[in-house]
Amino acid sequence: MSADATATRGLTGWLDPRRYGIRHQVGAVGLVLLAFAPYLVPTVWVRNLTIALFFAMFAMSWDVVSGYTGQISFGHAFFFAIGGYSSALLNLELGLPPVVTVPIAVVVTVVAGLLVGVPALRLRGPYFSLVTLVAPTILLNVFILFSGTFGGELGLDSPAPILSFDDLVVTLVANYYLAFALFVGILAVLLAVTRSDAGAVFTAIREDEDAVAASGLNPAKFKVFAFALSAAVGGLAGAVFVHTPVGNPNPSQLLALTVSIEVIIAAILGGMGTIVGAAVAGIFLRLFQLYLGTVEYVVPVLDTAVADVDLLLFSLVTLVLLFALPGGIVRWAVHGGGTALDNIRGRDAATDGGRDPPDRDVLDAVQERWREDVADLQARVGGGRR
Amino acid sequence: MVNDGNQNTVRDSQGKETAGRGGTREAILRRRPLLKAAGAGTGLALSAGCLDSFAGGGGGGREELDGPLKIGVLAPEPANNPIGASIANGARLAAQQLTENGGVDGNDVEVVVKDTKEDPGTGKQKYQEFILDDEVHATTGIFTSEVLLNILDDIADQQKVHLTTGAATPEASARVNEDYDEYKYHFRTGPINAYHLGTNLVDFGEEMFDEMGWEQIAVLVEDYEWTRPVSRALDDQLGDTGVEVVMRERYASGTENFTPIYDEVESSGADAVLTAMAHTGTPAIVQWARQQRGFEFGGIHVPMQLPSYSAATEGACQFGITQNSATPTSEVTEKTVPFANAYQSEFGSYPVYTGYITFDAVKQYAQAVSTAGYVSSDEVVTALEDSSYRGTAGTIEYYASDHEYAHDVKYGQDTVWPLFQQWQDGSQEVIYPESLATADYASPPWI
Repeated sequence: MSADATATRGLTGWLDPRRYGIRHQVGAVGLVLLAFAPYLVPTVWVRNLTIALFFAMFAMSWDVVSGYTGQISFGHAFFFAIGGYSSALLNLELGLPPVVTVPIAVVVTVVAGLLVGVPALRLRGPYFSLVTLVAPTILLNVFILFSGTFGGELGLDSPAPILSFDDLVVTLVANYYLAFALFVGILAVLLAVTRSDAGAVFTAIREDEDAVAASGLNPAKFKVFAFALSAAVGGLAGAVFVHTPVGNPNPSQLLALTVSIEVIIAAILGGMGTIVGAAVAGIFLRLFQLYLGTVEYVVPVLDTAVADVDLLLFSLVTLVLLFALPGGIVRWAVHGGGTALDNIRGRDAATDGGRDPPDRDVLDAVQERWREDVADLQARVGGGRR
Repeated sequence: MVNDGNQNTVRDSQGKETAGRGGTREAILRRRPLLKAAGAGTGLALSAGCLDSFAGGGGGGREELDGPLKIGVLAPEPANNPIGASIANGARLAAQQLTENGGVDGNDVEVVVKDTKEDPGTGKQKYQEFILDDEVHATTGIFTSEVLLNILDDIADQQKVHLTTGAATPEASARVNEDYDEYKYHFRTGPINAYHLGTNLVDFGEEMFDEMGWEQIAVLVEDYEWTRPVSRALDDQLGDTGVEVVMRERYASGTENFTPIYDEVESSGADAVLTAMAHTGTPAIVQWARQQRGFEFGGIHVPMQLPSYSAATEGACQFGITQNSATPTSEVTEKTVPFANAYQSEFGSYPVYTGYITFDAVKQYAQAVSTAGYVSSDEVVTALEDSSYRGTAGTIEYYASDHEYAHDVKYGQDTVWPLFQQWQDGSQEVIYPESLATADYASPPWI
């Protein structure tokens, strides 16, 4: 089926068995390292790693809908906030334990996601993105308007912790493993879904929605499914996040525009439509950001400490990376690694027809569709005078 | 549930001290479950003091100071926010002076500054870094009430003395009062708590409104956590001053355009607006001056406390009044001016109110450690409770554990009594209290 072929192409030969081995070995090593991280790093970094894992989950939840279907969501923080706030409010107001509030919060997030998503997904390209851009803004204004309930710009008090011990170090390590377990679970589920036939359809929607419709499949149905799955994952991560010592139900951590944007950057940097890329880049981006915040080094010319301009530096580095690796880190590593292997083994990589160069990237496909949509739009309103 | 978000009323529907969110006080106290199990935090009344953690030496028996006294300082954006810079530098100067004068029983005093970014999550993270990495004996600082509320439980868990020097929410002292054993490590060195800030506005009004010709006033308050108790105090007491309140508005947080609000004030016929502004103060005063509005302007206005504010606003703050802890030239105590000058020569600018308060907090804490003879928290708490410290912002004493505002700095003429300043010809002139006054109140010329 053509969808199948495009899926393979879009994923840089995910199904190419020759590179199956090494890639998965690297992934396994990474997971093992994460599993033993608390024994390898100072306690403060256990805390930072916990934050990074949650951020990676956020990035993965974005990737499953936007990275695969090409419907770029600019407001994914909407889901994290709905999840986090629902769980926190249920706990604070009704005294329900997190074990009960987290699942309810996931359901609430999916419902909210569908309320926004179903109408929005009827729209294409820029329209969809605009709707998703507005959704968290509206939510934030609701929070500010009803600050008695939602705590306004600065959020709510901390709800009950899921894991809490007398000793701060023990608490932080326990919560790290909680985050790690959740991370592995979400990673497994999303990989399973995106590597299934449904994943192939998602990818096909990104490449050519009309072709999917022409082949008798309903793209809207698949998009809504991807959206609901994404909402569930984002809501779950957000809900658990607020019950840990590293997270609070407040806009700056869950709802700010920067949250939505950073998630997108992480997923694109890792490689859109790979899930693993979002996870890896999410962890590294957040750790890098937290590290910058602790650097006391004073930049000579500017006469300011690195820690005071951490966000500026972070943005600059991210920008450079995005230009340098448009296909994403994971694709670049896999492709580069594959080429290197081929060279070592004395094969000519060019004869390998089963692999796209990484520059034929997802971003291009998405941009192309946006251009078409905008051109359509201009033609329709008669503003296209070029 | 309290929701006075966007209405003109400022009544807290529960009429009590709660932060107005996050549910009942019981829910707040349930937040530290005894058991590790998920959800043990339901329905359990906590038995206090259940911790016997020796981590970091808090609360685990008496401990003498052996080595430098380390204090963690939490400041918002100390690089570019004058309030945060004053917290950081006030603490640094205190530590430096203490160390130069023989330290605490011969031990140096060290401060470590971290940036809260005015964000509750970041504040919590930095507090935990102090505990894990820096192994501080105590902490000070914190400007944002929400940040303070978010780390109160950590302070209780770690059993480390914390002296707040900026956040004004009475919620913190209410918790000390209700669950003393748990929260007794929290003290507010300054400013006076938010309810007293409002009370102080009324006390000022009783003395001065008549003289200033303010008979009808409009109360303009920004809708943030810290202003709720201020509004409550004004509601409770403003009627006693004999002025007529012709308009009350809690305008939305983040407001930048004051034109419609000022139109309303003018049509209400008010002589003046009585303000409680911190985050939104600058557009409010600039637009008032640029538009030459037909009413006078004063109350609490945090940006106006900044000594360089006149230059920063190109003179727009002329004739504006604000409450303040001290100004660089006012002799609130014999220590005020020397401190302001020492600060100026060390850091090249004058401090704002948080600088005076943090300087006092570090010195008072060091004195308490010295008096107690121990650095362990329980002994220091007792010493602080008994302490009467003559600082730069007044005489610092704390309310007892059974007081509604337990461990808040005492408000009064003999303890901490804020002054009121008016910007005249680019300088901060004190107009109240009489003993410190450097000028009489002047009306804006366009009125």
